[in-house]
Amino acid sequence: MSDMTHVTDELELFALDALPASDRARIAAHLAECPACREQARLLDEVAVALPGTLPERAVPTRLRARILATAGAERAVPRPRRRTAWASWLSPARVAIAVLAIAVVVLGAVDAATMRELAVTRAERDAYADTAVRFSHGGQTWYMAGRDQWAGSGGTLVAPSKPDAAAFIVFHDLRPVTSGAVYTLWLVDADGRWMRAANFMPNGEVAQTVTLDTPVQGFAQCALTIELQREGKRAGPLVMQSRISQPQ
Amino acid sequence: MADHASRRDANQPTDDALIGALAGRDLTALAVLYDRYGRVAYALAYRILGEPEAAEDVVHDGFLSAWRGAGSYRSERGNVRGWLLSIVHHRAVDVLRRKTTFRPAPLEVAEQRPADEDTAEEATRNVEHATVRAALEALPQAQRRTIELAYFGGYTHVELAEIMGVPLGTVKGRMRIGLQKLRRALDREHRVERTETLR
Repeated sequence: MSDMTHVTDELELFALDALPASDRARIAAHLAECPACREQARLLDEVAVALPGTLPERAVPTRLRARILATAGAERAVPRPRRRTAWASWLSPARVAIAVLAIAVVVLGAVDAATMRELAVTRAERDAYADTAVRFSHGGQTWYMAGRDQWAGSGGTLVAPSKPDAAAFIVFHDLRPVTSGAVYTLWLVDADGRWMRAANFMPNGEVAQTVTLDTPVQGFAQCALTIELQREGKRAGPLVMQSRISQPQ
Repeated sequence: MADHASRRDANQPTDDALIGALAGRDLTALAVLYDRYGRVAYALAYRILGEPEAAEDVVHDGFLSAWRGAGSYRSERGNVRGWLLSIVHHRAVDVLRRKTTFRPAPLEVAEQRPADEDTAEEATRNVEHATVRAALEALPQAQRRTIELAYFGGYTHVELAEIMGVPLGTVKGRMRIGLQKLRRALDREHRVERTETLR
């Protein structure tokens, strides 16, 4: 235990969030190592978190639920950054920058240590999914395609953003590898059954993969994914997944 | 503190089970958790920030933080409701303190919720809320005001000493005694619950 000076005198302030960030970080660091103070803090926290129950409830914006789920869904669709174990990997420029920033801020007492740790992790994750999350945040319509037959377990969510200049895209997950020379081909199918090739791509080997469509989905009735040997021409390969994409009138 | 999940229908997943599913990236679990605690989280954020957009952002970020950090949840340190509300509270206070020009007025008298929202589960939960509300209202005004300004107003103890014109020690003392009284009220409520459960 690095600091045996108990913080009992400040636990009420800690429970009510009435401490400045630097003091809060100091108390949090002590609690992480002191079971006695931690138990007292837990009892006080129980009282503090009962206080919101005294508030009148308010109408919650209905979009909030969808917004939370959309952001979480976008994060789930994009793989988390791989955890590198070699110590040398910590010397990447981004980590060094974050570490220097963290040290500077802690020394200045401007932001608590817990927040900085969370910030470093969040930044790394944010870099990985930011683009997809931003696209999801534009809202719009979504359709899910589930893998068929031997491709069961794969899937993809087609997103047609409501933002006028934003391209439609699909976040695929768990796409299987294809044989040499073959590609995945994304098709848009109109109401008359005409198939139009929207994109060819190779699976990237990751859990999730985002593919942007060059063509707006408006006016099409279905979206489909096949495996093709030719990068042009009519559909010839097996159907991997498919979905209707009804458009608002 | 009694876990609300313990009083829930046996067919419903417990809060702890939902957190476990959250750690497994289960969106349905996140949706259920939001349905359980989104309203109180929003009420808390709104009370602290006084602005619907800012409150929405804080609740969004709070639930996303839970989504990302579900693996760090430790049930021995508190229940899921408390964990979630602590995240939201801390974020809301953080946002509030970055603004220097706005502080909401002290807590208004809590309103009763409409009767048509009183489902059986809500009614059970409201018993505990009513206990805390009554205990809070029973506190001497100085203790109550200190607790409310700290928790809902986002003031630090130093700021509280200044605006209330009392020494720091007095602020701490009011908080300590006030929280002890609230603690005892909650303990009494839980003893009654346990007794009724055993009957």
